[in-house]
Amino acid sequence: MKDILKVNSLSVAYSDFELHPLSFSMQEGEILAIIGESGSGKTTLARAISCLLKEDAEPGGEVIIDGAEVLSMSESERRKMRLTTFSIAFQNSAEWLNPTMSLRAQLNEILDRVMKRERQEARMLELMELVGLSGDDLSRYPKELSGGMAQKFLLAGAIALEPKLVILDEPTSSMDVKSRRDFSELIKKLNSEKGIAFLIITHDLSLAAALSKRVIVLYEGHVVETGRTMQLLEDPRHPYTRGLINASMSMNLARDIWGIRAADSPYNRKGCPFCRRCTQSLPLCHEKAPSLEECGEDRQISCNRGGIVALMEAKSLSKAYGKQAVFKGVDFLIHYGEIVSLVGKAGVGKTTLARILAGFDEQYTGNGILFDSERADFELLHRTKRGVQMVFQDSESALNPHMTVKEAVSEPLLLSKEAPDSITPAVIKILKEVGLPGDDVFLRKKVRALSGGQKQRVSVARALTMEPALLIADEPTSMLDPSSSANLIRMLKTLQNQHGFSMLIITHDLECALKISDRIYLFTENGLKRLLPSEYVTANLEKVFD
Amino acid sequence: MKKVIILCAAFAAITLFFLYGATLYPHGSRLPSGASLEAPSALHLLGTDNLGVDIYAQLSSGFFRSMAIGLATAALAALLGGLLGIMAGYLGGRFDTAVSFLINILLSVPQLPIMIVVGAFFGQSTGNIIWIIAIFSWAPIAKQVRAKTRSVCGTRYVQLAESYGGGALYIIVRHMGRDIFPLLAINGIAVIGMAIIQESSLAYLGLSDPLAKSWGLMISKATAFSGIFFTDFWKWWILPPVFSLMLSVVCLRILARALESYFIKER
Repeated sequence: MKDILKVNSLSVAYSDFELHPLSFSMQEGEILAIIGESGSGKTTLARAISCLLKEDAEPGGEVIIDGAEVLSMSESERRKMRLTTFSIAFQNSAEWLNPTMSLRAQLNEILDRVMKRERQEARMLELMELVGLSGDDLSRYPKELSGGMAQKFLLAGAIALEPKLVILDEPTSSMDVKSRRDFSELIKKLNSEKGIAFLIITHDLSLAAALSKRVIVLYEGHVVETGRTMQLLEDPRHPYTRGLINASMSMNLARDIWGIRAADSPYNRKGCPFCRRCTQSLPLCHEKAPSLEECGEDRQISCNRGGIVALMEAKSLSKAYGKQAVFKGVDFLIHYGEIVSLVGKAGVGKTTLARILAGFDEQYTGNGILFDSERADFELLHRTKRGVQMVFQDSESALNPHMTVKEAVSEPLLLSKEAPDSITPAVIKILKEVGLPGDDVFLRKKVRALSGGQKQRVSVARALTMEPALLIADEPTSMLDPSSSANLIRMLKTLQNQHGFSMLIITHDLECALKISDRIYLFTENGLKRLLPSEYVTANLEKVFD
Repeated sequence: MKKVIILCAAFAAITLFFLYGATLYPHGSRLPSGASLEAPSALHLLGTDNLGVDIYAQLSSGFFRSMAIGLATAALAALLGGLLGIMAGYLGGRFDTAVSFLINILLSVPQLPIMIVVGAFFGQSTGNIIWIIAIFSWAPIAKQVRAKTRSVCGTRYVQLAESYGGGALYIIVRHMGRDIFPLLAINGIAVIGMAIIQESSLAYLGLSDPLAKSWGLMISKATAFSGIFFTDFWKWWILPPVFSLMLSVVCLRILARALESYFIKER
């Protein structure tokens, strides 16, 4: 099939932003989505393709629309193509409408190019109806329109001359649920009936999922991942894509939503653009920018580590007490920066598995446990930073009751031969992070004088002093009242989001698992089974505005 | 804690009372200082024995001898029991089996007869008395310490401390110390009391140093005085050593109990 749009190393340089050379192509009648956070360069890309960049920008490369290179064309030549071959509907729609002209006048202006005024009225009514507006609206002025109506009208303008390619920039940002659904239907209809190709620029993943066949993920002006929509959304390979998906409310109905952690310093245009927010970045990532490489069929990714890396992997673990088998053939995998929950009935061996994965039980059979693709040396992992730490279920017995809070929390640092004068500040910092007072009185308090919730927090604080790459928490909330457990779960998630470590939570509390986890596994005698929240949780929000 | 302080004060008062008898009191405990079998008077506070030696002076010197033997025995027994108990509990395995076997043997044999035989075999000396009593006193201490060590060893916090790289010494000092020290203190004090009684028993049977002034020896000599219960002499010759023995042993025993309940409350 013919390419309707071909972008060859298109780059745009602003004084404070750079769109890196990027290339992609779109076939006729295809719907392609470009997703990314605000500031990732989506709109710049849309403007560059439609040659509507601000004056201080310098575009480079080529944009070929329907066989013609448009960047080097003169504006008068380009004008012939606008609206007939390609058109664009921007976000903040009202800004792009002339406030002194009625909608009728604005449509007249467009339709004048192809038909006489007499025939325009019928076409206008048809268009208005198509996008979900009524013919009466034609006599209105832009300021009388709501945001959603303006967006619909802009779309009407963009498709008025039935171009081959329509670029839509955040088309649904001011629409309610019902309008969004209607809008999706409309785009699908236009696409299938008139063969219009759509380039949809959005941060709304569910819109991309509903409409597009392929997706391009943009970050800081770089393409970080591309692929077929369903594959990409179900199995993101780049940490950024995963972060976007995890932050999408519409895709995670039951979950507590957290954005990707903020970068500690701005991107200095050196190294991987995402490395400051990435949970698996290496020193190399700060130096070397990755290039976009093929990975699998119709899939490209730009990551120095080849995408999301498995942090811990275990194959066919089995455990038996004497002849009594506890579990058999359990495969387990956790990636960098991910929260995985293991749920299951009491007595199925959850804690036993957790202890094996945390390196506190070596009496198992199986192919061994890999940590960061090497055989896990737990002795070392427990004693060094960026290793594995475990928070036991029973914080009562996990802390020596005779010790003071400071002694208990500082123990790992002390034993790993940390410089003595850096220990106390580190302990105070961690205590504050887990929501405990860091003052002298509390530091000198005996562990036995603490409440259950405080003890649990102290246990977590102790584990976090080692800045683990993987934190395994066994029933972290089972001993706590609803409020304390909510606080603890939020605290764990906050810390995980800030520090970017991976977390394995063992629990029988499904609601808690649903709230916090990126992936949930059901643990049965026959191994782990992935639980998809969407199979158990449904919401009927779409009907609310009907 | 209040009870412990009161008992310590009472014990200090007893010590002071006997300290006076052993130092400033004009009469010695070895040589006669008055007539034979004098009744208590201002000159001889508790009277004299058949040789005219002052009873109060003898009692005082007996107290310090008993206490010295008790303390030395307790220290030895606590050291031995603590060390073997901790090692057995921490190391486990064959060492634990061996130590436990030894403990059980020592706990099951009748102590006094064996002490008499051993004492008679090695001869009458204070040193012998100390180690013989110590050998029979460490076993209950070791048994308790071993059990405590094992229970602490099984806790998550010790497992975690080991995972952070804590060595045996670190674990024992930092994690077990505060559980084991009270045990040793309580048992040590109990051993002092027990050692005093055992030393007196051996002295009574003539197996202790015959020249040393000890309460057991005093009782032994007094009861050997034929027809003592037909006279009034027993009132100042037998009662004071028996009473002193009981008072100091009971005092130590109650102190041990008070300390125990204090440590339990502290937990």
